[in-house]
Amino acid sequence: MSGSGELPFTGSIFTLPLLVIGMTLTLAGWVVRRLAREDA
Amino acid sequence: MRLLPSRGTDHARRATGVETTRVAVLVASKDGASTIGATVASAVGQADVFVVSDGSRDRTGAVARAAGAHVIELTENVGKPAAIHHALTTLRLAERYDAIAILDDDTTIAPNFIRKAVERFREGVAIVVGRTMTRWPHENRWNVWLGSRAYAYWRYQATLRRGQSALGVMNCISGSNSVFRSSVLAQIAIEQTPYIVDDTYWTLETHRRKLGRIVYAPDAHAWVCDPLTLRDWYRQNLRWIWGMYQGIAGHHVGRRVTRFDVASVLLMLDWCAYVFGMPIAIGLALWLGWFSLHLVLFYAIGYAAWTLLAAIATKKWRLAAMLPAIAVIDVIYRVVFVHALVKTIREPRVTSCRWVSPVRY
Repeated sequence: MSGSGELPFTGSIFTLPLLVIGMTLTLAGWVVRRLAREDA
Repeated sequence: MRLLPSRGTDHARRATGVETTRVAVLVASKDGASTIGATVASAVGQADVFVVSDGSRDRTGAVARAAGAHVIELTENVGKPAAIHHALTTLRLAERYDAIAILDDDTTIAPNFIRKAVERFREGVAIVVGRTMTRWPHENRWNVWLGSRAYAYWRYQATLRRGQSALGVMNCISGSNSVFRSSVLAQIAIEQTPYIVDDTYWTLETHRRKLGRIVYAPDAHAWVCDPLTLRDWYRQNLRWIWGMYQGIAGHHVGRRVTRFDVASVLLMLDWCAYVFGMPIAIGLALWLGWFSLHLVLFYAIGYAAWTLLAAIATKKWRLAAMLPAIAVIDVIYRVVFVHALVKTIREPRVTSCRWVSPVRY
């Protein structure tokens, strides 16, 4: 069936620590992928 | 990597790329003939695929079978959780497989989806949630509802979901593309969930019964059909948020002192700030007579910065051009939050988890 629950709510001030952790991990993942691509 | 002792065919074992892990894919579908073929085709090389046709009146079963799935055809429409439960019990999937991926019938997964998800199944992990992305075909490239959803998925998953995953406090999984440890799914997949969103029930049961961590796998990619019209978009969001509110009430979220509850309360405070922050700010500005460019700029710069970032990250440059539409849709989203609250007060539980899917494309 289409459309299982996802709730793409993006958070703001009260979830700032989660957002910072999330963004840091996303950025770190992007950097790691770039470096791995360059090594290859 | 090892989940549980493996049993069964070599096919699924080889396909996962993880020698000791056996994975099944399970899809419930009602009248999904137009999309189920692509869903099965995307998964059939990675795992054994099972489709439950939930009282379909079209050729769902035949199309799924032709694409390579094992098919169960139910004569009556029983709803997704009942269909999933039926397949689990009659086919004994939880006994035969170590992990079970549940996909929607309009979801397609990347060729390495199962392998990437299984890699995250470390000790103590109950559910692995894939990365959801909007299927955004060329003919719908300027559809603002798809654009808004593509933006929301990216922003939500790159920030909040990733942070929640790191701290083990995910309040929501993707029902369209998540992989469950079989022993966990067998415990939480009941025949009729009391909430309109079955995966909300599964998520909260996993937390409450301490069945394991829920983690996000950003490299396990899945594409889903999202609503194309205001009507479908509104109805889908309303159902999702209604289901979430039902879960909060039914599982007494926020009434215990656990990390999950504290994080959930903070999230709820965020919802309040999100819904009421903008109208309060505008009201105050009008009332105090200093409505100025600053307030408009505050919101405009925020929307512009996030939309531009999303456009860069997803390489969908038209997102930047859709900025005004995304901002307007975000205002409507606030209305849905309030509407869903009223709906939850009137209907805190459901007896049947059935709904009409948005138009597939």
